[in-house]
Amino acid sequence: MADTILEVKNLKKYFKTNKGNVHAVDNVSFTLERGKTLGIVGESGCGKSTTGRTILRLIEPTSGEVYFDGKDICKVSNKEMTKLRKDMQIIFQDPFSSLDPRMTVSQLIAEPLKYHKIIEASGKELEQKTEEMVLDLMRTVGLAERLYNAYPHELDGGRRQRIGIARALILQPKLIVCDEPVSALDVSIQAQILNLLQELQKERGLTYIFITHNLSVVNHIADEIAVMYLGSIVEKAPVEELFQNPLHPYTKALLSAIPVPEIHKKQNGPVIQGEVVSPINLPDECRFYKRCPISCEACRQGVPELREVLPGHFVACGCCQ
Amino acid sequence: MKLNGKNGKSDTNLEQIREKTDLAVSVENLVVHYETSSETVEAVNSISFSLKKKRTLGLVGETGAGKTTAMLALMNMVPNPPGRIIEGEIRVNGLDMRKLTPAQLQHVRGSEIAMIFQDPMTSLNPVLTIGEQIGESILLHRNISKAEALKETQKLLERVGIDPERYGEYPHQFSGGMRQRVGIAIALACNPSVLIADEPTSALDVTIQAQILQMMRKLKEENDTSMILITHDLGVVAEMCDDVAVMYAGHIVEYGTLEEVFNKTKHPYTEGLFNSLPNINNRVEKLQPIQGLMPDPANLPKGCAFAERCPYASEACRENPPETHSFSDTHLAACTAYQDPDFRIGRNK
Amino acid sequence: MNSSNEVKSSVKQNRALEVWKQYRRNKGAMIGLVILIILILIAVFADVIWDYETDITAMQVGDRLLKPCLEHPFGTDNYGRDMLARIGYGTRYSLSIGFVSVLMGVIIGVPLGALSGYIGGRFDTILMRLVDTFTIIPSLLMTIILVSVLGTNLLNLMIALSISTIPVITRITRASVMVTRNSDYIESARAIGAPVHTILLKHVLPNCFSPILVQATLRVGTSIISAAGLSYIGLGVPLPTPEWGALLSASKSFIINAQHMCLFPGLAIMITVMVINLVGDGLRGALDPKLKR
Repeated sequence: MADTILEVKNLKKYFKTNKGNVHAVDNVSFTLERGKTLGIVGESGCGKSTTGRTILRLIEPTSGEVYFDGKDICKVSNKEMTKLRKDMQIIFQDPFSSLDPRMTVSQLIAEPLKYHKIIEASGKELEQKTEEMVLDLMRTVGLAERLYNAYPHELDGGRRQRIGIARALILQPKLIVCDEPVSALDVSIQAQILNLLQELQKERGLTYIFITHNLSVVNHIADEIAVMYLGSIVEKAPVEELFQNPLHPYTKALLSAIPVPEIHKKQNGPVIQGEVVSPINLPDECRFYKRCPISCEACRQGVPELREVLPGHFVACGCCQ
Repeated sequence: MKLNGKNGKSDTNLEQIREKTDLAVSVENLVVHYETSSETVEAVNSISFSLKKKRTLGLVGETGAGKTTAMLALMNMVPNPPGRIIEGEIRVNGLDMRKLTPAQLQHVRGSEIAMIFQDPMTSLNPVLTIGEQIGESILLHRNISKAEALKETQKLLERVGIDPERYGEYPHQFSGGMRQRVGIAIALACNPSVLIADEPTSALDVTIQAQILQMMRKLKEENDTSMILITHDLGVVAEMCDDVAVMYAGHIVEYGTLEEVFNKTKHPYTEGLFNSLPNINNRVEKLQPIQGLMPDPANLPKGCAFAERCPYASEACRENPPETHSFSDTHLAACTAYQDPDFRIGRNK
Repeated sequence: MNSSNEVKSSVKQNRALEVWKQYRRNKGAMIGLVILIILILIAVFADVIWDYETDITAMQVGDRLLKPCLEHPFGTDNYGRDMLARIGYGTRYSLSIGFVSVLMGVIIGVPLGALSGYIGGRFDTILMRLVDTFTIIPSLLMTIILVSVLGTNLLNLMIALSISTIPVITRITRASVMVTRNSDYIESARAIGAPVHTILLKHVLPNCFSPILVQATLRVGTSIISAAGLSYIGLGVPLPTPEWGALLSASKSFIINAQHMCLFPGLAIMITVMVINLVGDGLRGALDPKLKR
């Protein structure tokens, strides 16, 4: 049995609105091995961010179980949850809004230490050790020492994202949910941050859940990819397998839609028509039915289950085998 | 009605000052600064480019490279103050945009050159129906009745792939992709011969992006439109463009046909961009990002702006502004290193 | 390492200095601050400068209604009392009415608004309907009712004014807390395990500071004016206390032949309100790191 750090079982999150239930996360299950990266891919509104936040219990799930290191975090008390937060952190998409504008770089990075006892010291000694730790982390993530007392608005997006990473790292977590950490950044900065995240993973044995809409990025960083559509995982496979042998028609459509920066490499797959329908009061049929180019009668007989069709390759489709 | 009459008059004026040319757009030595009491931001520093009729030019660069400012200057729409076009000649269909009167400019914008904006959420007015917003543009520029304008609007909607019966709906009733279609319909309302698209698909999902790009290609062919596409996505450039200009810190650092810039890359910055991108067809262990940050446009170095981040930079690069070398009739790169005839960047070895 | 430590600690201590530097850039705010300090000094040392019995309340009927002259720069009132002394002494009452009533309003309104905005749900609904009930009664009418019930003296006036301030502060706090609550950095604080009260006190409220401060400074002005209005109709502080509104009120019978009697108290109220707004504006700019440079 592999060393599983996270197991998610039938996770559901419905939001009640006036129009009906929004199925933001609908029956999501997966396991994640320690030290690996799971990429969650999907278009806006597919519930990938909600999934990430529900796993961290920043949003309370409607139902389902999330086992982190064998403990069901949906059932623990608030006090225990606070302790667990030390081990599971999040990096946000928007480095412009996820940092309190009134705090300096050092305050932002050191803040988590106030709520968790990481350093065994008190008084002056604690202050000094905290400072050393912050400076050490700033070096690790590539922030110059002179920025110690700078405010986030004085810095560019890349540097702000580095603060966000340092802030997540200071508690020495085991799992980090990266919610679109590079989508707000320019390509050259994006590559710097991706490399940093990879180095940190290698050095510290971190486990990542990497949420993104960018398939090229997830192809680069993930070991395994889960493709989400309207709140459910439609396909999940190791990264090479998914890119070379996509089975679900939605995955195929996504792959063929990526613009590739090479001439004559235009992937001439069909451009998928239609748009994502609203996730309110969904009919009991395949979520992708209305846009699917190969839909058949089976697709209307309830939501297809995620089945293992090849070793490690799961797909939720009634038609494709 | 009065307005139409006025436009009719300026129309004739326009023909008198129009220079005969086969270029849709030509820009010579354009310099745009943003001046505040404390500093001068050199947003665009002496750029020149031209766009032949029916072609698509991709303007590539990162945030702050000056792409959007250059395009605003093209329409003579740089917000003033603080922005100011210091010098340069801008011609659209042979018209010198800097010499037109405000009334003439108003006429040219929309009917000869139009813009598609990045964010379909904010570029539409939330209190007007989409039909009114498209029709407004038609009524402003063409001497037709309201009923005819409505018919035109519906035709346009059909062309951009929206059910024409939805003309009475408000922007919030449409999804992001649909709103961008509306934005495109507005830009196309008066059949402009030049279209500027400022990151038209950056805010959209990939499958929707693919739909919009496909539609834009189709419309461009149908109407013989020339287009300038501003983007940071080299993948979109590869799909859409004939020519490419790469901008960095207000300069065009490399300029050529798609094939030249992508397959015979000359400038180290362009190479850096390619190496920074995770490529879906070619998974590498580690990306090679460009180190460091773009210099502050209010405080540009005296030498090459890219020298600080450039792996090939020499002392000469930091001291003197870069020399422009041409590699073919169409291919230019502003890089001093090519003084040495044997110099090759890593990508070309 | 050592040198950087020094740089850092010195910068840390200089946070207050930095705010001050930022504040000093705003010329209007500086002028306002200087005048406000003078006003406060006058209020504090009013007893030293003037003797309440002889300078403020003693009548000298021979000097009544003198126009401004060297001996009495602001003239005298209908009992021959020096207007300058009375206005100066009145600073004490008007400033304390303004500040204390708003302070009470803030002390009660901010926590209410913050809880209401952050917790939401039923608590929010009930509290807001309650606040609505207070808001629909015109604030001056409200104050009049309260003062007439409680009786007219300085403390009751302050209480009455603060009660009409509370709904305003509660509302503005709630609104900005609701906006701030949904920011990513609040979620970020939750993700690192910060407890609710810390999030409220450290992250939410400081970021709601600007609108609250602006509203509070505006309310200081309104309170002074309301107090003056109440005194004018005889419901404020009882005579012969030289509260500014009372001075104005006293002038109404002599407005034809002794304009100075209403001019100077009116000016005093106007300048004070303006000065407080200037200082509030400067503070807002100086305390917000985003507005720097």
